[in-house]
Amino acid sequence: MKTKILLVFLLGILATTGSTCINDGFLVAVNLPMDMCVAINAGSSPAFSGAETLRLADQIDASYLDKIKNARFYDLKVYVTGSHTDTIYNGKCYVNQKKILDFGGAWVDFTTPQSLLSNSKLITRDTTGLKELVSVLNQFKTQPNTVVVLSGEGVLGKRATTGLSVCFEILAQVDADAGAK
Amino acid sequence: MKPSHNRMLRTVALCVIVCAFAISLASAQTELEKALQQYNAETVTGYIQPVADLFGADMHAGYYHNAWIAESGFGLGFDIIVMGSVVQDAQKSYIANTPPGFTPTTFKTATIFGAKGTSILNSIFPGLEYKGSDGIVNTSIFPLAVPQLRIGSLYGSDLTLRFISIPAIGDNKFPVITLWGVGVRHSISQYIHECPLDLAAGVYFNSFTVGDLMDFKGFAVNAQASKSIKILILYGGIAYESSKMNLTYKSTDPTAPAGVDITLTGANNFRFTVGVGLSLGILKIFADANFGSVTNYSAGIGFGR
Repeated sequence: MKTKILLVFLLGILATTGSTCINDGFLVAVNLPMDMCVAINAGSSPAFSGAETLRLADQIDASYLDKIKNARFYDLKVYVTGSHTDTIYNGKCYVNQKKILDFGGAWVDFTTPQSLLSNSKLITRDTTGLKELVSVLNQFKTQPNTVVVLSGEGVLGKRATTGLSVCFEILAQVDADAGAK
Repeated sequence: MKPSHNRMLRTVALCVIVCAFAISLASAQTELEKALQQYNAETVTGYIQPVADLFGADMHAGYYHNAWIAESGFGLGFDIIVMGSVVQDAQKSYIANTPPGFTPTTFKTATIFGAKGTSILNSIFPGLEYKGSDGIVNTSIFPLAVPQLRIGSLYGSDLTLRFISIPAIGDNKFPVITLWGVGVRHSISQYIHECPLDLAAGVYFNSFTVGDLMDFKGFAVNAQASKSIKILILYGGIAYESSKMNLTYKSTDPTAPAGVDITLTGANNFRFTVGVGLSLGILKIFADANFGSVTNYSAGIGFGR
């Protein structure tokens, strides 16, 4: 009988081995990507513009929503999809209607994403929009229903062909306290 | 059947029932799995490599505690083995890559066994900041435990089977672990008359899954020796082993392809074992130390032959 009790005890330990060595509170750096694309209508005016409203909570795992401690961004990118042989003039990206980037140059150069991190000469950051982005991220820490409006505009040198779009992407992270109940 | 055999069979049956109850049906995504999904195929490697090293060493431990094998006759033994690999300081941090274009291109941050993840500012645009996740497991020894059954003997050979499924632990922070292993060993000393030691050679295969993400496979061959002095058993051996961890998941990192399917190789290839045991009738008590790239300790109790 004693042997059986000992066995049950040991197997109980097996089933729980390690439970005390998991950190109670650990922060997971969670990816928070935000992006939007402006589809350019073929044959229409060479000017293009568009906006998209994003609910930040939809960009991450729902279980992290009430556990966010910090938020930050680490890159901004502009890129295009579709084949074209023209130039983009006077391109602008906005966060909640606050300008965050100016961009312009040959269409083909934007088929490779132009980013702050790559120190691209084809994009210029604007502190007005950067401050707004920081404000949105800080708001998200306490308000899971935070939404952000990303928008963009610009002009092509000549009328668009089919299947063209200009995209704007923000790469951000939030720290989620995975140990929080 | 002898009363002692009846007792032993009832004990083994009880263990099987209890093990079956221990199998968890939990399938929810754990914090570990969600944390890994924040990494891409390149960045996850350093964060998780210590797991490949330590689990790899753990799963090959504790297979034998005596090199003696009867030439023939039915014999059954049941062991409960607890093993642990030492987490070295070097396994608590790693040099991680920052996102493409970030300056600096690398930074030192926590592995899964580390403390706090490091935050780093871009040196060209200081407003840009990137951070690694914190460590999840805080321990100096990474443990594992498994029951195993020894069945013999036929032509001086025996078979060892091990299996366990450990439920998600730490409030679902660490996923379900399932391990099974099989080994066959053969007595060498039966061919050597008046050999002062019992000698055997063994081959082992292990499979180990952690949640839906990680799948370990390991293989080991070893040479074992033991010497019984009354109730005392001194044993040891050398082994070659290899282990691989396959990691499959869908990453949420927007800077890299979503599909992650990588294989990491465990650090331990050679193992030198020294151990001591007590044989108290059907009860055995034993402990050993294993030296290699990873230092591992195992101990346990056994019942039966």
